Amino acid sequence: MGMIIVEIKSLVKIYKSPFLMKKSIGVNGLDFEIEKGEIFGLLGPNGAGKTTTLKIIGGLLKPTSGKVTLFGKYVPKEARRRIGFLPENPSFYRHLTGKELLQFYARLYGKNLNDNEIKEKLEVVGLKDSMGKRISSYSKGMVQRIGFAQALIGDPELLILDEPLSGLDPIGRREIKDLIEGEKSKGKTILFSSHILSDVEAICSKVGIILNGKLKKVGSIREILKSDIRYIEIMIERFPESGYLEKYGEVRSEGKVIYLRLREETKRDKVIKEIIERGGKIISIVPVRLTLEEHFMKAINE
Amino acid sequence: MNKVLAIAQNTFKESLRDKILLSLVILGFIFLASSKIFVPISIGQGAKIIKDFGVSMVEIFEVLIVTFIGTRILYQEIERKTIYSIMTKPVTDLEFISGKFFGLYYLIIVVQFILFAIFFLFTRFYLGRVDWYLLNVLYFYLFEFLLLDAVAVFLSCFTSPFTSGILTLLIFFIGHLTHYLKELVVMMNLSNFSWLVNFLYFILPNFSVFNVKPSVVYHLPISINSYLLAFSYSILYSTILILISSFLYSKKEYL
Repeated sequence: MGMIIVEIKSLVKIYKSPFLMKKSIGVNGLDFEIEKGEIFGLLGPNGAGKTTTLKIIGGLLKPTSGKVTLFGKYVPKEARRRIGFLPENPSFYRHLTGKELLQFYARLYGKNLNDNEIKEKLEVVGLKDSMGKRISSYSKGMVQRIGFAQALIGDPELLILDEPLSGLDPIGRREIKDLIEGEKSKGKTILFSSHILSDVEAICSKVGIILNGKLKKVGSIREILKSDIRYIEIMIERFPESGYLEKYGEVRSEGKVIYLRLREETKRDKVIKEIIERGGKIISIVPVRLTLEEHFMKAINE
Repeated sequence: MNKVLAIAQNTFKESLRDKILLSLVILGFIFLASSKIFVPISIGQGAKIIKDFGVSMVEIFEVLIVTFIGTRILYQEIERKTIYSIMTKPVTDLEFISGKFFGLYYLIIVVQFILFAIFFLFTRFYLGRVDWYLLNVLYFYLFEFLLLDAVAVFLSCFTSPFTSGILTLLIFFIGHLTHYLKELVVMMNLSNFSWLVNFLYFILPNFSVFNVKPSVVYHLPISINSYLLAFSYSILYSTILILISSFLYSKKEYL
């Protein structure tokens, strides 16, 4: 087991409206850990509590109860030097150029970057040629990339990215995904939120499905996808009695080949034995598992 | 200190682009230029009226700048969500508040020098010479607006821009009057109100310590104690307000 970078225990956040005496729950008893070098995807629909969780870890919100520990010892506010944060739909000072913006954020780390250093940082996010342009003239994808650059400015060990791919076109999404993977290859730990399943599936090593402020499922992508088998598809040749198999599941014929969708995994060995005894030839046995999307929908329905 | 300076410079640059600032400076220019119209109605007092009117106008426009721009500098960071990328960096609440405070003060100084330059230009034009004794007012304004800057930042930590604008104006005017109110209560024997006046006198900043306009316009001497009092009172009161502001801000959450 690697070093624990983020440790969250029984985290609760309740938003209170002092005048209306109303309360709403942001997160309700979250528990999870992120190890060094992992890309952890927090997956959930809008309003599930993803941003609340990320803001608490980033030190922008205070938990109502529970504990957040970063790097084994710090509370979020103390760990600011070691984290990089990209907020959802980031907004930056529109009057500054890309170069001035990075210089400004670098100074918040007590660093003064020269032109070459700024160029290097902007080259990583593909904005070297736009360094002299004002942020107000940047496209959404460029703002997201400069946001990524400001998150990296202090060379953080932990990157917190809130919906880094939302609202981007396919090229923009690819670019940001490449940036995330590039940072992972440098050994950075990355926590990011998304409601887009394919992104999480493509990038993350570990995922947490969050709904109504509660974590419904957490584990590595492999563990989650392995956990539930939807059906077993058996491909058979030379089996004349296809009607015989219908009692075990859905049967479909394509020429001489029969496909059986076996719903009950426990009957697998019995069915295989019967097919062979009756002269059938088994070409393949493929367990068809739930996709991440199906897991997600299952968690929602539960 | 580099962090405070970075935030201050950025606040200054951002404020310079505020359309309200340009409008107020242009309006200030027009008002200062119009001081000449008061000369015919003030027999034998023309020069003094121009000077008095001029220094008062500079003060009024500075108050308006603090009220309209100063009370929004914290709010804008939250409204535009730029605060998220600052408060997740290694910046303390005190550094952030100090940066905003000094950024606004930087703006106040620049505007003050511009308005005084315009004012001197008109006195030269209308009166044929520049009265350099008026520079004394500039010294007192520097410390008066340092304090008003701190008041605006303090109020912005827990109220909306509209409320903090109104309160900043009220505190400025009451702060100029508490001194007189205290004397009035004694003179008119209004003991029922004395607690209220005493409370206001001790709690609210006493802006009358910066009021040297009559002495300057009439070329009366200003004691060294007045200079020292303006300096020390402003620095001490502002420091306390900024420390309280950063404490209040540390309790803030960024939704």
